Parts: sequence; structure tokens; C-alpha cells
Amino acid sequence: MEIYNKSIKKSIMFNKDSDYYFIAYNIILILDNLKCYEGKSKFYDYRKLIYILPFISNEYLLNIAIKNRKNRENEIKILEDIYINARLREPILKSILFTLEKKGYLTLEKNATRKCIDIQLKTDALPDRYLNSDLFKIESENIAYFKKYYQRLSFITLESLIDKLFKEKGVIIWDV
Amino acid sequence: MGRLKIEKIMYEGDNYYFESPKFEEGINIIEGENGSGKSTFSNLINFSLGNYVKEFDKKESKVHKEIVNDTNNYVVSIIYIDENRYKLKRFFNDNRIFVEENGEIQDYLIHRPQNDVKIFSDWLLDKLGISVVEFYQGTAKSKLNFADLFRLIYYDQKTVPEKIYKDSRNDRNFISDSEFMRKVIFQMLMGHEFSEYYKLVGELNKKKKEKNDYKIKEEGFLKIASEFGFEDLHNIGLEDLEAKVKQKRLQLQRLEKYEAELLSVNEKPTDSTEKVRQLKKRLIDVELLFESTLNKINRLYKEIKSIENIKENTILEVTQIKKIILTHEELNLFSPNTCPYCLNNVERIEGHCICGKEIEESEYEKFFYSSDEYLAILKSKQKSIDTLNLAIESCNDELNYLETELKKLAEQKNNVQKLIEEVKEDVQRNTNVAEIKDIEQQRYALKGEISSLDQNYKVKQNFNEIEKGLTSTENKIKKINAALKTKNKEAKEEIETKITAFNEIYNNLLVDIKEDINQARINEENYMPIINGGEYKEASVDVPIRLMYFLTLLKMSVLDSKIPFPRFLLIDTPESLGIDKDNLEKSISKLLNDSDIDNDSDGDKAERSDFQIILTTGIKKYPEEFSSYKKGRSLNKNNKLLIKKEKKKQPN
Repeated sequence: MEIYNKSIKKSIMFNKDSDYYFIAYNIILILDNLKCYEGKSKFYDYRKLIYILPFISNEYLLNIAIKNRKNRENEIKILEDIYINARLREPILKSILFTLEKKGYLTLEKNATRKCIDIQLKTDALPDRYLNSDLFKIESENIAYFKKYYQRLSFITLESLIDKLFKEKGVIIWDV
Repeated sequence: MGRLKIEKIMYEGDNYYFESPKFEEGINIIEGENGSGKSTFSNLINFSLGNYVKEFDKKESKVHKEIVNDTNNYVVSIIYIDENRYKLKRFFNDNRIFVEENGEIQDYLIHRPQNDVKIFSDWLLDKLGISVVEFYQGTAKSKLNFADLFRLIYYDQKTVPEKIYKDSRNDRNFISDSEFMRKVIFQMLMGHEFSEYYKLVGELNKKKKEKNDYKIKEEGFLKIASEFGFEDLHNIGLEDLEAKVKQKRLQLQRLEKYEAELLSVNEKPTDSTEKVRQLKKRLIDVELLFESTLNKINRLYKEIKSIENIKENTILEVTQIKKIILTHEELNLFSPNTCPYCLNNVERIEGHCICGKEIEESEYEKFFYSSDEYLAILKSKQKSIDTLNLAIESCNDELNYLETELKKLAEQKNNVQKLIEEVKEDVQRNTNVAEIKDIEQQRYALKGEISSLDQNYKVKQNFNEIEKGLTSTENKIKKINAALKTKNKEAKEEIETKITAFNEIYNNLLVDIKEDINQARINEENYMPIINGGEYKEASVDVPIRLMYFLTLLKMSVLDSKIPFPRFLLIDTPESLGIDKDNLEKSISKLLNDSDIDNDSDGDKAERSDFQIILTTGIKKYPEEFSSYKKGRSLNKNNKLLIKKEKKKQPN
């Protein structure tokens, strides 16, 4: 009974938004769909990933982000939550990226001019059947939509991404 | 209990025939060489008692050719059960046995059909005073057959002696063996308490099934009743319904009387202002109800929407967890043993954190999940989708109900409005039409209510019948359970004393056979022999171990006539199994000594013949002093059991 309770406790404590694998697969999919591969192009400033991630994984949130008309009060509240949570998850993102680098799936590189860290996926490191799994169809579509509204995703700076995604929509940003 | 004795066995077909000598009480020996038909002889006895014989089954590969290929063949046996003589006739390839008793012939089926017919085995067990009990093993129901008991009466050659019990019928998909069954066989043969116990178990199972049927009926009834709008049948009392009907009827009577008054004389029209006031009040009431129902409906819509939202999110989460599992399986990135700084794998000592401090392993919440844990999470999410669906369903049910209510209210509103219009006209015409119409409407509604209540009453009545049946079966089950408890205790006590007695005889019989056997008893759980505390493994002694087992059963029944064992043994040549001649002869001479012991103990000659053993064996493979028990001719290659018939010559 005791052991059972403990396993229950652990599964109740499960939170998909801060699950390492959840973040990991979304990062990989973003990088893969933006074609940030070694020798081709870079994803400038890894921190952007954690802010893009929620919109890729949830269609409802995506629709809020790509809406043309003004956002409603409750939608701004949702965006605010996304911003704060993303900001708080930056350290997790870092350790996940280090793990992925350690396992040889991507490379992290210091960018002296921009003073940030850039990412590239390693070619042929990830199994094809994994990347092309039917399960990830929705994410790929979401990324394609997102790209249309927020162009040059891999290139723009973190600040301008946050401006576009949150600030311009009425979310108060902690400018540090 | 009943005693079985075989006097004669005969075989007759178009090509072969055989007639046994007359068998006596006590020991009877049929001797013959291997392959001369000793086993066929045993098989014929076995067959004539309604049992299945593989060698006689055309569908089998190893068959007894002479018999299977013979035509119009049958076996006749003359048997005694207690003092009564019966003639059994069984044709090959027929599912019947003809039993002749006092010149009257009755036929019984051999294989048990679906319905409850008395078959041959039932007849035989009945005569032997053994009750035919029913067993439930899992969901399968089976009845005790004579063939089951015969497994401890017929010592055959084919069974590996270690197994003690003769192999049960096992052809392709028909297997009737289980440890449970073997235990039952022993218990049924050794004690009469057990037969009553199993009878009770059978009854209990029957009642349980009955209860189950009632339950299903009840559920179905409730479901249908609720579809017709009669809910809550459990809580409504018949008296309440009756009182309600009475009250409504009274109201109806009053209305009808009033209506008659209104119609008969038109002296003074009712006060219209008062009437309008009344109707307006009614209208307001209905409108208020209408509003509140509408509110409820709106709230329900909102609730359904939010549940559906949650459901969608949960579905999304389910797909995401599936992706997490895929990623975990394909990339295997994180484990609880990853150093948070260098991200290398750490060899962690069980019960210690990565930092080296002692921790409770299960409290070490790492937030890394194994595949199993992810799957468990996935399952619980999928389950919550089911729950949400259920919630949506019940909301929809309520919604439907409220919407019909709303419709009714709208109609009422409409009716009241119409009545108000009528009153206005009445005032102009100085008539009573509105009042009359109102009464009519009320009367109509009342009648509807009464007829629905009447139906409800009938439904409730029927429901009560089912409930009554259910409680009475439940009570019966309780009673049987109580009886079963005491019976179980009695049966256990009985079998314990029987086992003690069995052990004493068994031990005495076996220790003499070989000097290195110093203790023999049976396991109290499964009744299988334990020799020298389980350490004795000499395979060549397996035959005497089994043979003495059968003999002990026989001896017990001779000593205590209350024991159901039918005081009959059929033993088929154990000598071919590679045991040494010494052991066999010793075992066989035990048969003789055994019967002698009885004589010595009470000096009563009659005791000696209170059993029958039919034994087939090799030529002279038995002790000298047994030669007087030999019956009939010796069988050999040139003098087989079955004798070929001379072809009849055409009459000149």
C-alpha cells in the first residue's frame, strides 16, 4: 500500500510543462523544422526556444499568438503566464541542452558578437524514424504556422522576439 | 455404502466373442502372456461400466483393431450392487447402456447431455449410495461421474504409477483432470460427510446463479423502468403510490362535480376580475419557473463547455505523454543517476543521493520517470478522459430533462394566456367558457397523472416481486453458507480420522515390501503418498506404492461399511513395468494376507469375502498359494482372449 501511495504521489506530481523529455522533444522539433543543422544555419540565442515552445505544443495558445486582431483581457493573462513560466524555465532549458550536447545530438557555440549561445543540430545524429514519426505531425504544422507570423525566427534576437510575442500584445515584461 | 461385484463379462460381435468365467468373491486372477489380451479384458470391464476406453475409440490412432473393426459388437456384464443383480449391455458406437433389473430393461445415456437427464453414471452412483454432486471450477460446471471415482478403483497399466490416480480421459480437447478433482475423488470415496458437503456446495452455487439472474433481472428492469420515466423504484413505497392515486382521484371527482355545476345552470357567471387575478398569478408562477429552468439550462451549457475544455486539454496531454514516451525510448536522455552539474552518469549507491547523503530510495523524488511510470501516468490520464465523458453524458441527460420541462412550461404559459383571453370574452358575452376550459385542462392533466401513477404502481409491484425473490435467495444463501461452515468442519474432522486410519494400514502394508521403507503416509492436503518423509525415490517401488494405495482404500472400506468405496478393485498386470518380481509377488501376496488378517482379527469367515478383486497378471507371476484363485484358461499367443468365430457355413 505504501509503495503504491508513493508511486501515486510521484505521478500526481507529474507536470508535463516542466518534464525534461517534453521540453527536449519540442526543442528538437523546433530546431529540426527550422533546419538549423550543422553547416547550414544556426539558431541564434538558445533562450528563445523556451518562449517559442508553448505555442508549438498547444494549438490553442498558437491561435492566440497568431491572431491579427487585438487580444482580449483573458488572452493577455494567458500570454503573461506563458512568459513568466518560460522565464522561470530558462535554467532547465540550459541543462537539457547540455545533456543533448553531451549525447551528441547538437552543438552549442559561443557567439562573441551577439554575446549569446547559438545552437545547431548535428546532421544524422537523430534517427529518421524518430523525427518523422506521425506523432509529431501536429508540432511540425504548428511550427510552420508560427513561422509565417514570426519570420526569421532563428535569427532575431531574444529581445525582439519577446517584444513581438508578449510586449506588443500588452504583456508587462521584466526588463532586466 | 454400496458394494460392487462383477460376476461375469461377455463380448460378442460378428467376428469375435469372449465369455469370462464366473468371478467369485475375494481374489480372482486372470493369467496370460503379454499381448494375449489381459488389458483388453480389463478394458472390457471398464467399458461395460460406462467408462471411456481409448483403445475402443475409432478416432484414436492406437486402437484395438479386432474390436474396433468388429461389427454389431457389444459387451454384457453381470454385476451385483449389494444383493441386487443387474445385467449391463453396452453396444460399441452407441451412447447408451441397457440396464436389466428384475427382468425390466431401462436404457441410460453414457455421455452427459446439456440438459439434466439421469445418465448411466448417475444410476450407478445412486445404487452405490454416492450422491451426484456438482462442482464449479471457475465458470465451468461439472457433475461427479462414476468414471472419476473409477480412477481409484481401476489400477491400469498405462498410468505412470507415481501419479497414483488413473489418468483421466484426455482426448484432444477433453480434459477432466485437476488437483481439485483428484481431491474430490478421494474425499468422495473415503467419507460420506464430504458428499453432503459437496452437495451443499452445489446447492450454494445454484442459488448464487439464481441470485445473479435476479440481479441481472433487477438491473434490466430498473433500466427499462427509467426509460419509461419510473425512477427511484427502490425508495418509493407501494402505499405512498396508492395514497397519491387516491388523492388525485378525489381531486378529479371534485373537479368533475364542479364542472357539472358550471355546465348545468348558468345563473351567475363567476366574478371575472377575481378569475383574471387568479390566472395572472398562475401565469407569473409559471413564468418564474420558466425563467429558473432557463437559467439552469444556461448554467449546464457552460458546465458542459468547461468540461469539454478540460477533456480537450487532457487529450492533448495524452498525446504529449505519448511523445514523451517515444522520446524516452528513442533518445534515452535522462535518468535519476545523472549529475546535475556535469550531466554525466553517476554510479549512485542504493539508498544514497548523488551527493552521498543517505536517503529513503522511494522518497528520492527525482522528477525523472521510468517508462513504466510514464505509462502509468498515461493510463491515469486516459482514465480521466473516460470520467470526463461520463460527466458530459450525465450533464446532457440533465439538459434533455430540463429542455422537456421547459417545453411543458411554455405550453402551460400559453394555456394560461389563452384562458385570460377567454375571460375577457366571457365578460363581454357574460359566459363561463374560460372557467370551463380551465377545469377541462385541469381534469385532463389530472387524468394523465393518475394513469401514470397507476402504471408506476404496477411497475413497482413487479419490481417488488423481483426484490422479494432476490432477498429470499439471499437468505437461502446465508442459510446454506452457515450449514456449509459446520459441514465443512465435520467433513474435515472426518477426513482427518480417515487419513489417520489410512496411514496406519498403508504404513503396515508398505514397510513389509522393502526393508528400506520405514514410514509411509499420505499428504493431508493432496492425499498423495509420502514415503520415508518424502526422501524415498526408488522408482522400482512405485508400483507397490500405488498398488498398496488402492489396497488400503479397499481394506478401509471392508473394515468400515460406512465408507463409500465400493469394495471392488480391478488391477491390470503391473508386472510389465520393470519392477522386480520379488516386489510384485510380495505386493500380490499382500492381497491374500490382507484378507487373512481380517479373518484372524474377528474370526468371521464372512468378512473374507466382503470384497472383490479382479487381477490380471503374467503366467505364474504370483505367489504359489494364489493358484487357487486363478479363473479360466491361461491366455497366450495361440489362445487369446477374443476367440474368432467360425464362418457359418451356408445351410445346404
